[in-house]
Amino acid sequence: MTDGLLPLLVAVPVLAAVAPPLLCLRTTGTGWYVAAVACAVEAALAALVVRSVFLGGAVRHVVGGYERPYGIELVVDGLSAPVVALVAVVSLGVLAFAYTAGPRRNSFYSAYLLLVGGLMGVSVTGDLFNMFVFLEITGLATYALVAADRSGRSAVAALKYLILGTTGASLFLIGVGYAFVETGTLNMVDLSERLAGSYGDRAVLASFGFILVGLGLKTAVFPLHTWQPDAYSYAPDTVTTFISALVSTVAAYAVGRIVLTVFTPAFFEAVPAARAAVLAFAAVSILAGSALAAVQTEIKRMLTYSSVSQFGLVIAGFALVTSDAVLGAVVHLVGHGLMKGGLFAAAGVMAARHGARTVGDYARLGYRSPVVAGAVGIFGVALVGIPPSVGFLGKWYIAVGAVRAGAWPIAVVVFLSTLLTLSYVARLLERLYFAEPTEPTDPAVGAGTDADAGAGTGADADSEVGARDPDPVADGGARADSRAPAAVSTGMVAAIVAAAVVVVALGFATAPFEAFLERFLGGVFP
Amino acid sequence: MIDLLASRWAYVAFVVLMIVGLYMMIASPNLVKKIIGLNVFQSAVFLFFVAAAYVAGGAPAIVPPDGGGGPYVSPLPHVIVLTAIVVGVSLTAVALALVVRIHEEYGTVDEAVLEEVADD
Amino acid sequence: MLESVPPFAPVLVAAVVAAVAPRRIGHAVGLLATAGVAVGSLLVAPGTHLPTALFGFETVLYRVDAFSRLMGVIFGLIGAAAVAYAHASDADARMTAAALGYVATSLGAVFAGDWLTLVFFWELMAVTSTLLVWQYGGAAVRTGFRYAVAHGIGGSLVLGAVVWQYAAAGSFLFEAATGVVGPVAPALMAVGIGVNVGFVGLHTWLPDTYPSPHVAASVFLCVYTTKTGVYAMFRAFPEGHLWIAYMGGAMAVFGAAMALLQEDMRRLLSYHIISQVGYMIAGVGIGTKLAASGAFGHVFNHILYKALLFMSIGVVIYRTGIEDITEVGGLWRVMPVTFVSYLLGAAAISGVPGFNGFVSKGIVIAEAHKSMKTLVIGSKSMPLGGEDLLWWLLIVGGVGTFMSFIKLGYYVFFHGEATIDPDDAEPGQAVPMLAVGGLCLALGLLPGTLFEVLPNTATVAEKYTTYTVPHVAESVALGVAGFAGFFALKGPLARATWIPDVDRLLNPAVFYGGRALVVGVTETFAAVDRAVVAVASAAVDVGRDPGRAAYRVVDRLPGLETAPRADGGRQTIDLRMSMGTSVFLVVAALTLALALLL
Repeated sequence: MTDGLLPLLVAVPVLAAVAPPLLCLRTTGTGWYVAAVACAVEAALAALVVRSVFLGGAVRHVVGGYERPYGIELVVDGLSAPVVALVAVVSLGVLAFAYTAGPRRNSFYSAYLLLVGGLMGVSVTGDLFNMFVFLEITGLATYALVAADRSGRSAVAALKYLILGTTGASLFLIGVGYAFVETGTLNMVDLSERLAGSYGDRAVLASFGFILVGLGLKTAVFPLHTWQPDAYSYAPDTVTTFISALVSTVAAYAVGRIVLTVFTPAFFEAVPAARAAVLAFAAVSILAGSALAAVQTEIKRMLTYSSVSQFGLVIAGFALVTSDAVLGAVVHLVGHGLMKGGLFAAAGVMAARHGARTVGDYARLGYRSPVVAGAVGIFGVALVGIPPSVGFLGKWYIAVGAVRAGAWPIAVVVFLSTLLTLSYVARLLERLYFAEPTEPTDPAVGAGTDADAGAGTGADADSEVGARDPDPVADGGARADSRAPAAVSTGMVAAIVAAAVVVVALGFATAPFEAFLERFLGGVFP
Repeated sequence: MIDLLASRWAYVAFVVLMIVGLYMMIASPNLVKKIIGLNVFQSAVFLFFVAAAYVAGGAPAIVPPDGGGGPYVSPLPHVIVLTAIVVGVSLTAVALALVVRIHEEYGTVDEAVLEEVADD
Repeated sequence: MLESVPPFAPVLVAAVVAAVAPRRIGHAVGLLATAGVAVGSLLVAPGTHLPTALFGFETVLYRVDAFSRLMGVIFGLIGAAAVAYAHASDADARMTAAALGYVATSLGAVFAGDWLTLVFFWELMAVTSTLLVWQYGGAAVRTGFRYAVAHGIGGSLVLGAVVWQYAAAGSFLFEAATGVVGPVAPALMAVGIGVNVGFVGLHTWLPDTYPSPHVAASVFLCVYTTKTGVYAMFRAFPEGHLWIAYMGGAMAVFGAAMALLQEDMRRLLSYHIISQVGYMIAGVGIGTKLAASGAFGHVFNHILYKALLFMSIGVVIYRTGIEDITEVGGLWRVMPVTFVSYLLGAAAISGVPGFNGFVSKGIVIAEAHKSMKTLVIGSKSMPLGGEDLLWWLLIVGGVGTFMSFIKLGYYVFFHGEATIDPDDAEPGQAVPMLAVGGLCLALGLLPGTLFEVLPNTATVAEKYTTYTVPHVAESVALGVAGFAGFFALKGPLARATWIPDVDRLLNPAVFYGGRALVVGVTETFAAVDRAVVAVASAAVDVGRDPGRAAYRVVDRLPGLETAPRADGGRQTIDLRMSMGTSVFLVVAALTLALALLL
């Protein structure tokens, strides 16, 4: 019964995306409500599908009744179910955040829904070309969202992302082309059957290379990450929260899907160089990303480079192709989405409340915004991998998988990355709580007039719902920070706190993750 | 080499177009030309698919009711290319819209100038 | 019934209760829970209880043998005394809650039946103890931060060793292998635990942190972290190790020597923890059954008298508010109860016959004398310092201990007239102090009782006689040397307090090292960046600069700030790449990937 819901998972947000521009003819403030209804329906559908996967294993739907290899197949199995759940939950959560934080334009929510549809599509499709189309839909919506700040810099960042993202997707398409030329099918399951035995062929190897580089670019693995820092830093904070939690995550999921389902572990056994190459890419990404994060001073850039490192970790988990490592990669995929989304949301709140955009600006904010700073602390230590948290669980399983696979360099790299992560998280926490209270870090405090009133509600009353300080810090010059949320509501803070609670709670959720992946891993690793 | 050019010219053209497209994206500081390069690169991909589907002497895959006829060219790549062209066109539209906005903001579409302006 | 409740559980519940309940009730519950753990540890059946699967691995939450039983008894006992003391010292309920959390995680670590559970609680212990320090606020926050960094690094090393151990032994359970096996795990483990027990060179967090928080928090801190470290060291090296034994000897001398130079009361006591833990580590390192029993006996006794010393010195600080020994004096008349407690503790730590320190320290020293004939560095013909090097180290440490406690007692309780007139200890402070002091004396007079709780009771009782003429003579000689040494060197010592510890060197070294690393990374990346650009321009004949690169390394370690830039510019590290360079990188990556694959 639930297999009929799979097309709806994609169709509901995409169709709903048409509504906000149409409504623009009559009214401009309704986009959020359309998105809220669509995302709620989406969450309910996702819950039904995930429940059915949990109880009965993989759910398949053949679109239009055309069986493979001719038709398109939609599949949710143990690998995609956590991603589907993540997309549904995060899109709902960020929407709650956006209610006060804005942007409030209808067109924004159109792109938002399109992005949800694209992400769902990548997660549920069982067809390679279909995956390309959904990757491009995802990309298209993301480019529009990055540029939603309406500043020149965000437009430049979005264009850079567009050119690189499209190049990456085209490389992916070339790879798909090679696989198609070799086998004559695009269905993932079919492909894996027909590729077996011809792993050494040049066309197959070229296909793997093109697909890997293409998806590596979408995932932002070093040195293909260059679009990401600009895109994340210059996008509005709401958008950064959303795309940091989901877009690269889904691309990394695609890498896992292709490595495990299409090429299968047998490919890696036949071609050890491929595995070594992917692991080398991942290891370099982990170290370079962490090191670059450690030298950043701007919060959003620091978090972006940290993503580069964390996705290196996920890719390494998939490429190790042991059941522990894959479990770890999926856990880390979900966990990183929640942690990084929460951190960017918190960064948005800090920017709106105190105009804080750099690590230095965060001095002693732990006492002025205790709840949000506390959440930052939780996300931070989870990112380092301190139990009990989902961050620990993911890293742990990847490390164990590396050890069991005998890939010692990866185990060492994971360990080193933990230390490097500790270095920048500790710097942030040190600023938040232990900076010397020498000078008034918020210029608004000394600025007099109505700015004082705003800072007063934020600081003196120790209230979590402070008015927004005018922001002379972030962009140099007197222009207000257009990226930051328009205001900070209790609901936004509650959304961040909820994410922090989930991050800790998932630290105990080994059993559900294992239950999801058990059947899937049983199929991949006989 | 001559043989390759004679029998596989479509694939050679694919590689040449791909390199031209990538080169334009790398070398031209003009944002519009970068987008043109992107289009050239995508066209190369389309050519690759269409060439792969080609069967010597093949007819369009319109099968008569009795199932006879043929040989046909593979219809699947054509469908793919059609979809990819649609995707490509919408991307180009978004890209050009962004360029318009960049030009409004900075008055230039030259990347080198843009960097100097944006750094202020 | 007892077997189904791991000891950390009731204490953890008590911690939560203490955090929310009124102060009096919270302390009462904490007292009951810790005392209950002490009694329960004595009664519970040996063996492995509560096998469970943690993160998908076979683990044991609650494993009882002679060693963990001993740790449980003493941790519970001293926990109860410390809670009572905290109540009487006006400690805040939240401090006690943090302290109980810390006690609970330590109990979890010593009752763990496998490395995974142990390392889990080990890391949590670092967190809870940091909270305990931070809770006090003020200067303690900064020292707590350094404490957290030290333990973060140590904990990571231990975690690495545990993972490696799993790879080598195939299981996390203690039973799977004798201690830590494999090529790298022992080294990682020794250094990681070494941070916790205060190996010379890795010890700086200890005298840095312990003197800074509330006096009652110091009592808790001095007990759990280092002793859990000794316990873990024994689990990792049940058969001892030469280098660890000598490190123990070095710690014994180093700690006592540094203590002798201190004028801050709690700092002096903190250095003594290093010295005393040195004896335990030496015992573990020697590796004989008797030495291990001696080491654990010393753990037991040390916890008693060190807590007693911290409590009595804590009373002095609590009543006078003075931490510097040169600013007080002659207090024995006005604070007789405190003075008597101090005397009991000092006699015990110095190993005066009749006190418990004499018993356990004697075992370790005797074993060092006996066993180290077969355990010398270098060959017989060229032994480093001779066969008795370790023994001499421990003896010299003993003299240093005498000297520094004579110094502390002399300056605080004698040395001129009392210029201030503080009250003596509160009854609530005096009761736990005298109870613990009495226990020190009782265990010293009846060593058989102590042997009962020790592991390998039969061996100890058979092979070791506490009160023999050489042992007592040795102790008396140490005491005489200590008295003579102190009064001979009193003048020079008072002038020698400027001698710094290695942290004067280490803290800047960590800072500048970190800075150098960051600068190195940045510069390397800049070099890579330039190289890429150069290649790109050569390849595609585009000679454009990829963008301004401004590198600025700002304060990333606590304690030091760099001045903001004079022109008020933003401090960013600008590594942005132009679109062209980015696409070139993509092409380069693609080429590399295809070259590797085809």
